[in-house]
Amino acid sequence: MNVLGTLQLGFIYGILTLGIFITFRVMNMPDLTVDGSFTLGLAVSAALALSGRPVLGLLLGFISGAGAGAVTGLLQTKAGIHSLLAGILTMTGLYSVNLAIMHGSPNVSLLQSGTVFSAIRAAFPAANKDVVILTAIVVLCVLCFAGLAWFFHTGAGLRVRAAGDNAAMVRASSINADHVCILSVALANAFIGLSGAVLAQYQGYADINAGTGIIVVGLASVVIGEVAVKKQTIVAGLLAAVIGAVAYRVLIALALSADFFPAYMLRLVSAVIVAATLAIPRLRAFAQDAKIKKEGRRNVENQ
Amino acid sequence: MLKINNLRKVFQPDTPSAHIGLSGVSLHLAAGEFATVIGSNGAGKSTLFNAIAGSFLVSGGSIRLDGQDITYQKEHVRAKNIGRLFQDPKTGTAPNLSIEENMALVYSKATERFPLRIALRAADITHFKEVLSKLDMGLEDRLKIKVGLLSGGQRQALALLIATLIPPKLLLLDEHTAALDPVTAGKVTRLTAEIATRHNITTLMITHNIGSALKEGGRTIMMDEGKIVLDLAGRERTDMTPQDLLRRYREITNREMDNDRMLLSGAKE
Ligand SMILES: Nc1ncnc2c1ncn2[C@@H]1O[C@H](COP(=O)(O)OP(=O)(O)O)[C@@H](O)[C@H]1O
Ligand SMILES: [Mg+2]
Repeated sequence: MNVLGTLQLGFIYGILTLGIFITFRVMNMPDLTVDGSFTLGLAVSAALALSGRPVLGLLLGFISGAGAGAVTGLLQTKAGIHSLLAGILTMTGLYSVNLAIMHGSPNVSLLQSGTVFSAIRAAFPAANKDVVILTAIVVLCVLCFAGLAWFFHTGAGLRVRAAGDNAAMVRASSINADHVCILSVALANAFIGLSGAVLAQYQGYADINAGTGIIVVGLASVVIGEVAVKKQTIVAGLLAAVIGAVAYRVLIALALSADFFPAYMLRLVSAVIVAATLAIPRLRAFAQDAKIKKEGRRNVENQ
Repeated sequence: MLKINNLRKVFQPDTPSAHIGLSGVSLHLAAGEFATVIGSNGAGKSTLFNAIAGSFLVSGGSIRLDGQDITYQKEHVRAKNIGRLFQDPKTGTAPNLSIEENMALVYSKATERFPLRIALRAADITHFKEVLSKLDMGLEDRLKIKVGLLSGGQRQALALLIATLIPPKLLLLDEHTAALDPVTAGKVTRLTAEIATRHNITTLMITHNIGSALKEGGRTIMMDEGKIVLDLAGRERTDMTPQDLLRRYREITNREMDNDRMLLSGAKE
């Protein structure tokens, strides 16, 4: 197992998981824009790296992700489309947009062009290249984490958290719940787009299918993180998202290197992890009922 | 303060299930006036509150609050001036936010602070502790616990406090003590009267308790079939017993007051 490489990927997906945590846990809304906005970040970042502006590529990956999220938010609030369908519509539309950004080709290689990572490596020629890259990725991920931790304590951040918790209260507090919803989905997808943007320059290529099923990877990371971090504050939740993303990569790398399953089984394994974790409360209740019934029957027999 | 003129609301108009919710309600409340509202289930009490608060647009008539026509104002815009509490204590607070965060959410909005500033400041905490201590529930020492962990009574008291943190021009209370046990209900009712008096808030309180309908505030309004059928104040009201009021209801509507939660005695509250 390539430890440094695994950690690098883990923290890149940590940024994605922060975004997914916002919609899935803070807003209480599964957002399917993710597959499209992640690839949008990749495509935008690759296109700008190709034209010699890799840093701008990361920035625009963030901003375009926010734009994609805002579209989903608008469809939900202004057009009254169910949140799941709104996400699917944006995601589907983005497939064409992403292909257009990649000039119709399903993948774009950055081998010939500079990326933020080649620039960082060049800045520290003496240091171990993987350590330098990992440091850069960790710094970016920590910045995202800290930014969100701060945001969720501002007035706007509290509104986002309250909207996912009790939308009626938010409206009664003379806050425009529609705006809060649009802002939240945009914010979440901004981080998802940024994650894709970093990944494109990290791996040196963008692929139109990079985002397929990425929502499940993010959800799996969120739930794994929640196993590790028990505290339930907003900061603990953000921390759990990053830890979960890294743990997910480590677990996958371990499983793959031990030949537990071939790489193509990854998505199935992720889906099973998420389904199983989300089913736990129901299974617990089921087990409890079974126990009550059994004891009840025994009491009847003993009479 | 509140001037409602000939307010009408038809639900699902132009369909076979068309249904009159309000049929010409007129009501004037002076600034600081506290009126209670009673009536059978389905009389249109909640519908009247929904119309005032803007949950839907009315079919006719007008609503003025403090001189401003708010008939067609958006719900979240009028919410700036209208505080609202419902029967379910869960509606007024966000369960996964702490007590101080719930308060800061509303306070930072009501004081129009820039949204990208930290919502909870040291000065706020001191202020929140002070107002919470008036509840006498020990909540001032539990600012960091999640509101979802509080009892129904504590949550409703907190919701009341939050709704009046910046005193609204109008307070609409829709059976806000109906889900509480009698002792807690009495406490919250007293607290309500106290806060409304202290800040001189114009208040409408729907209640299932005929005793407190006659005792709290200075006016009792009876609704039936989307109309106000009785408006009591002054001597007539102070002299009236719950039994008298029920008799009046019978005389007016030719029916018994039918409200599944109706309480006759106000003794406990
Ligand atoms: N949104 C709505 N759509 C259709 N009918 C409604 C709606 N809201 C209330 N009603 C009807 O209006 C009547 C009055 O209801 P309501 O105001 O809730 O009564 P209450 O006096 O018990 O609070 C009831 O018959 C109710 O079914
Ligand atoms: Mg009602």
